[in-house]
Amino acid sequence: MHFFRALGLIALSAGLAVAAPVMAHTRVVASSPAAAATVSNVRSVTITFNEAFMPALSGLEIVMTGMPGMAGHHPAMKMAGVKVAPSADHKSLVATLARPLTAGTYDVNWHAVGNDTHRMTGKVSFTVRK
Amino acid sequence: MTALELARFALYADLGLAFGVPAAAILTGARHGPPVLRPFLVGTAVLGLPLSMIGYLLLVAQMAGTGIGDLDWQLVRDLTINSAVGMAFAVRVVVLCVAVAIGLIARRGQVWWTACAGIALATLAWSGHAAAGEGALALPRLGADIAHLLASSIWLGALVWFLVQLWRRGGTSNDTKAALTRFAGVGSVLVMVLGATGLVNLWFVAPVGVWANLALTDYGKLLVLKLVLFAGMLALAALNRFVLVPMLNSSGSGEDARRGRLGLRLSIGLELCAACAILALVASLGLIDPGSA
Repeated sequence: MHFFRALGLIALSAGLAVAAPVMAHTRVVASSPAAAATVSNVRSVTITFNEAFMPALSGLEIVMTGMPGMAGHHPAMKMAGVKVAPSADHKSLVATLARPLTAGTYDVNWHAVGNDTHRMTGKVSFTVRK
Repeated sequence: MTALELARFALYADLGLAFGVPAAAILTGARHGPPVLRPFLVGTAVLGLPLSMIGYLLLVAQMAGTGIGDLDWQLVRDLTINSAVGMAFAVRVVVLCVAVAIGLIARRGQVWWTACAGIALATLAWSGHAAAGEGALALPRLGADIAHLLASSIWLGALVWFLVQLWRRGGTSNDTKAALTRFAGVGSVLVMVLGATGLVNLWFVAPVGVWANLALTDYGKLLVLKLVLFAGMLALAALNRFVLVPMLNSSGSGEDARRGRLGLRLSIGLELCAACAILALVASLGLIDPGSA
């Protein structure tokens, strides 16, 4: 019976998932600030993934890529004083900043490894206004 | 092929043979196991140990995004204790050691040996897409992948086991003929298991609605190639079953039996080549992201 129940579950889930995109490997499903958003007073950055990751192999860094009035001339600068911790369910990376981000453009470069053992990387960009 | 792909290929082949050859021998009626194969089998288990270590270190290096030379040993230790893939590696090493001990000490430990090798092979399911399942579907997904691994390895093992017998001097024994005949039923079950679990595994990677799109990705192309090779193996298996094995068994002139034997050597040899190519594809497929073109 277990076998048939499992088969039923599989068939059901496959049916439900017909319209969904290919789901495999760790992907970003949400972030705060959101990708491409313009925000102010950023004290923490959260990236949420579609699946649980292995904390020892996952993390992020925040890089300032531009400052107001210095378009194109600002070298990317990695922000110091960022503490990164996984959420309890291991689906979100939470970065806490020592002080709010100054105005400028930022990339959050993340890397995460899910239980399927594949290292995935990516970035989320946003802008901080005064 | 990258070093990691090469290590994965070697592991699938080595553990597949360690389990598949004795399993195929048992299923086709070799009661106490083939003594000729004992050194070979112990060799596969012994070789499985360094291969597992190298494969695991390469995997950790890939996950950490570093070269194998810059590995953080603290991280390796943490992962071995705390992650599913690390536990799977540790279990594999232990059962391989037990298998080596059984192979060296026990005279008639074939069933135990095969069980140990089967567990070692099953742990490979944790180093691929099948380990990504969450919640209620995590176990069915791993189960389907393990069944796929075991069934394909029995097929692989049977090819090697039959080739060894067909190349042995002094004609084909009645035992070999009986085993080849018996494999007809075993093979049909294996094909059904492979088909069903393959579909389930694909469902988990991509829902039915996007299968057509999947064929355009790198992952999909390799998968299609794999299915073509699988179809070729099926055709050869049908040729063996319906033409060559009856020829070998024919009681008429010795000529038919001789031609059947030569045909089987060639056909099973080709099948084995296709099986090796499939293993190489699997070594890559498990590392490719099905979601990217």
